[in-house]
Amino acid sequence: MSAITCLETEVLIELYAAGECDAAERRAVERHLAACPGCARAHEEARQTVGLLELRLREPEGLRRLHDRIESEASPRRSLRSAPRWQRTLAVAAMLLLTLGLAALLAPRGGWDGGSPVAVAWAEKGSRWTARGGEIDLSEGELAVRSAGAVKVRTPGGVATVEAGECFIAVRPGAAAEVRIAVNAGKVKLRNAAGVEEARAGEVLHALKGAAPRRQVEALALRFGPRRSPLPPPRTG
Amino acid sequence: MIAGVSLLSLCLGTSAAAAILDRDPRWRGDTATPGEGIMVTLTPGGQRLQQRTDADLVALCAAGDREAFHALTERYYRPVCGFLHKRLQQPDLVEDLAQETFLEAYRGLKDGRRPDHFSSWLFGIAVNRCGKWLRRKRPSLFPATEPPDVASVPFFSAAEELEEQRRLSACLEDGLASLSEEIRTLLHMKHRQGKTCEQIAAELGQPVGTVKSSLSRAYKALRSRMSRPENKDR
Repeated sequence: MSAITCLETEVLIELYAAGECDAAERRAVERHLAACPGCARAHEEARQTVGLLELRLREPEGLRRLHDRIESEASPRRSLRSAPRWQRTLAVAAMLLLTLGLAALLAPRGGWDGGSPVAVAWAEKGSRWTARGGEIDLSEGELAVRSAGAVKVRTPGGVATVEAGECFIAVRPGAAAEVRIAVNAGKVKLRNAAGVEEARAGEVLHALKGAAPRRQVEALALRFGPRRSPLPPPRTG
Repeated sequence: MIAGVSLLSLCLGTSAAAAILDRDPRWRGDTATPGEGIMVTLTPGGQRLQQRTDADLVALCAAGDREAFHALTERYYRPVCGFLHKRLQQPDLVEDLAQETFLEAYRGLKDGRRPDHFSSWLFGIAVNRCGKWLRRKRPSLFPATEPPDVASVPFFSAAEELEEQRRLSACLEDGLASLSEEIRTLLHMKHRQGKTCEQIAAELGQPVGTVKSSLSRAYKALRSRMSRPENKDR
């Protein structure tokens, strides 16, 4: 389908928002929307309308599901939340052990020496990583790092230092040696031959070979203001 | 219910039962003590709960009344979904986060939280849930598409959001009511049953093009109603 006009886009815009255009129409509409702010605004409205309509029509099921979940939560069955503190601690410890075991299984080419203060929550299958003495080498793939102290993660795009926090690190294989780090909690410093950059919770670090790391504020961090740390609060007393 | 209350008053004595009822806002204005018992006038609970203020319903929830919380979910489910949809624009995800928002609110009330303004508190939970999801989603490392426009929703005011969502909801209801029964059936099949236009056309024995153009006209009519007045002249 060749380039389309505003009038033709207006005809298709609702069906496009509802996911009912064929591939050729979809491409034509997308090309037009990218170049036409007026139609892009109309598309936003159409998407809003179709979405709210869908939510409205599915509301009875949603409310029923919510009703059932609240009833089951309120049922006298014993939940972890109502268990004594020592039982909850034990359950969390067991879950952590299980997670670490799964992480080791998911990274067949990696290794974990168990001696460092680092916890690897998960590693994407096929990731290539090793961990030894509080340092991790990640040459390819993704892993999540949660650390109580400082830990170094070496990647082809630079060395990341995670300071008492939690982050996802992804390394895209290839000549660019691209690395991206999404920080969930604490702070992370990324250093390579071209420079150094630091990011905190809600921010993303990005680096390519030969270029200094850059910090990107995740779009919605601005929208929602300061973020709460997903880590449990430190113990006092 | 009256029998239950009478029994309660017999077991505990009138003053003790009255004290219990005084703490329960559902009974305010409904009790009288002519001599020796408690006379209670009640209409069915569901209807009455709908008329209660948020503060009353919150107090009832705190006293362990789950029906009161269900009344709050019915009151706020749609605005919360609309609010989340404005930010996430994915109905499936919005439904999940709305459920989590209400569950968190329920747990909060059960654990002793007493928000002064339930709706603001609830929208605050929704914002946090939304932010938590956005932080947690793994694909953000190498996103396939650019993140949403930061400037589109820079500030958040629960009262304004609620007003806006109620306006949109009323326009949508009016719009739906103005459509023919046939069109409403099409919308129901598409959005509630999750069928494609091809499936709907096959089921109704109509050409796909007819189904698509009917749906398109319906969407346009609804969009026109829901559009802000200042945008209608564009």
